[in-house]
Amino acid sequence: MNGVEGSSVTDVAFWVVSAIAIAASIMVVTLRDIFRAALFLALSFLAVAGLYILLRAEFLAVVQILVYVGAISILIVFAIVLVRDMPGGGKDNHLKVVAATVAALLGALAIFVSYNSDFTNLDALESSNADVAAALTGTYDLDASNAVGDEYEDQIAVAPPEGAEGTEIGIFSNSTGSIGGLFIRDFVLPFEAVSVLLLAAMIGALALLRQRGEES
Amino acid sequence: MPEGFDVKWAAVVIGAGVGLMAIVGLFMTSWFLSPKRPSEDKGVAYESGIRPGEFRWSQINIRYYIYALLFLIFDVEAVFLFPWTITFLKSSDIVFYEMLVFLGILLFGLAFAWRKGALSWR
Amino acid sequence: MGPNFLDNAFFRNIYCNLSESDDVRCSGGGWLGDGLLPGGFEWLAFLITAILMAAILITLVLNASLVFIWAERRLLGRFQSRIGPNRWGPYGSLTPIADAVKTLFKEDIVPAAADRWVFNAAPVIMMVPSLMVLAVIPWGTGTFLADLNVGILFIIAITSLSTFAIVMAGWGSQNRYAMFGAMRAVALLISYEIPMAISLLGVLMIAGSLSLVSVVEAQNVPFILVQPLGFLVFFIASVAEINRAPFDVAEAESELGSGYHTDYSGMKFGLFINAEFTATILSSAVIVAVFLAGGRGWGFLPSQAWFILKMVPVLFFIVWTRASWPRLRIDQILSLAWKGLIILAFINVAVSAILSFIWPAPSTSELWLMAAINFGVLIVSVFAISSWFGSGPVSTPRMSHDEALPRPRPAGLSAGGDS
Repeated sequence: MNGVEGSSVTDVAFWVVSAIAIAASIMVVTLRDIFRAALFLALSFLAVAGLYILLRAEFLAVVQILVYVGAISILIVFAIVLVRDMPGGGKDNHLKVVAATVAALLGALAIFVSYNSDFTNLDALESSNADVAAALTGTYDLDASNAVGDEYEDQIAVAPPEGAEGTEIGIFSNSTGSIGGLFIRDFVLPFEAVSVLLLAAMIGALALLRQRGEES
Repeated sequence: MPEGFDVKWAAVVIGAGVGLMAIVGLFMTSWFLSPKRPSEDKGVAYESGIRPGEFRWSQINIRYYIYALLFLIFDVEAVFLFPWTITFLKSSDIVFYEMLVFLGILLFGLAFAWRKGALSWR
Repeated sequence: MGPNFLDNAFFRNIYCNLSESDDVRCSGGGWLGDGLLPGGFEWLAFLITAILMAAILITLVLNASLVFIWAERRLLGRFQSRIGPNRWGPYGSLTPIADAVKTLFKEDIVPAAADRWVFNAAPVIMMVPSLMVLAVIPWGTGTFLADLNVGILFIIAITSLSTFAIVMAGWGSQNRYAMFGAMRAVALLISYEIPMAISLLGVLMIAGSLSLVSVVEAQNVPFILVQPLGFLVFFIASVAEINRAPFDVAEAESELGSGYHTDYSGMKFGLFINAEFTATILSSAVIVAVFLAGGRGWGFLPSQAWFILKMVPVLFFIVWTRASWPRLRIDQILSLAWKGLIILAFINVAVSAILSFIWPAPSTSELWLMAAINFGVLIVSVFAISSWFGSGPVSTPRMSHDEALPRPRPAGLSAGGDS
């Protein structure tokens, strides 16, 4: 178990990172300057990566930085730069009522789901979900690992780190390897489907290119 | 004492914080030492002596956007490859062929993009 | 289990002096005895030790970049049959310090049209990711701030933040040269990130971990020998990622002024320049850790000294590259990445996967065997790719389509625009 100081430090870190994420998101929707809005979007992605780290999902955190901050935000910035005279800010589009309704519905849904989820009872998840949770967070409960069986032991339940005492928080392990284990065992079909999805995305991008070529 | 995992990332954050302090220190030093004599001409963007005209963003080539799209796709693919690389040796043979299918489909995509001329700058 | 830099004697002493830790590695106590701080303040001991270590590492790297600037200018002078800087200090060794002092005294000009916040934040965002990278590099046995489980992926991810700094610099300046330079730089950075990431996969297959410390530990045979093709691709991609010649189109002096930092002056300009040299030093450190067995050596030298000794030839090679090749055009650079390096990286992944499949836990002799096979693959594939590259007709794209020249348009150049 973490020491008292340790957990309070992580609590403070959680509040700081969440505050940054929320503040940055608010800036994204309120700023008129679309380029700055994109920068704040990247900041909020970065803060979400911080949240993943606090959840001990370091692989997810790094992927969040690599894909969302490093690639998707850059794509958004490129789009902004390419569109003529965008920095001046867009016009009002008279859809405020619709937008407010949709946003309110989504917000209500998020509140409903988080209110009705029992976050204190994560241990009671069925074993397959526990695998996913364990792989994503890199922590693994000894009991759960026994329940899954021997074949996973080399994947997920590595030996406890030197000097670690007790296993109340589960054995810390390598979350990258655990995710790899899940990809190639339990989620083969989704994994292969991803490649088809990426191929489709690439063909879509090329279609954009061809249209452009035919115009000029 | 916080345990291993938190300590590692705390150390990374501390490293970034110390780096930030160093940069702020450099800025402060420079701010104290440097002259401050603004003039209208200093505020003009440097474009080799020509007075800058109106700036239009659409002067940027669309091709950059295509490269960014392709980059995004291959970035996601690389992300999927990383967990596979460090696990496939501990697993059964079938995993190796699964990955070949994954790679094959994506390399087909690359070949397709190449064939369509998306990779050449025209 | 305490902080993992306790393996280093120096920091173990500081930490153990301060804290009343019951960590086994503190059993001998510190120099001054055990526990200057009362119990329960181990976190403060950790904080002090980590800040101290980060400060020492950052100071060393920043000073190393000054030394590197001097060495590079001297070397470039020799390469070009010049003398190089020789006025300040012996062999001109104080020149970079004079430059740094001059930079400090220069006025900081912000263009009137600039987006001040974005403009000012860009150099900071350029520098901080570089300094975060140095926390995860194992500079020798136990000499690191953090041994992350995702170390290598962390380095790739965190350096991709510098693309943001470049876009911010270009956009914040509201200057054509800066914007064109920024767009070119971003296109270059994102294109070379892919081969960079994929070329490391072969190393990871043998090491079986993303942690840099385990990668160093796995190198009974340096991976430059086991993974020559991966090293080649990684080296080229690294040189491109740090925006150095022959990949420095972003700041092509003859076309774009100075690229994305055209409008920067004073310390902010200094930060951009320093970030480039810091990035050079850090990428050579990554190359040493991943491909040259890190701080592993023999004899009486400490591992940290071995690490630095190995960085010297890598840095020399980077300078040599700069002196030897002319600047490539942006279309040549992008096709080298997409049609050359990515293919080579995938060939490397395929061959490494098959070899790792045959020898799942390679012994030292099996590593040598892999090295021999991989060298064969390197020679065949590089010759195949380069002969294919050289076989086509020399293409000269209509560069008017690249970036339209701003109004007023010099005579003799065709109109481009957004056609």
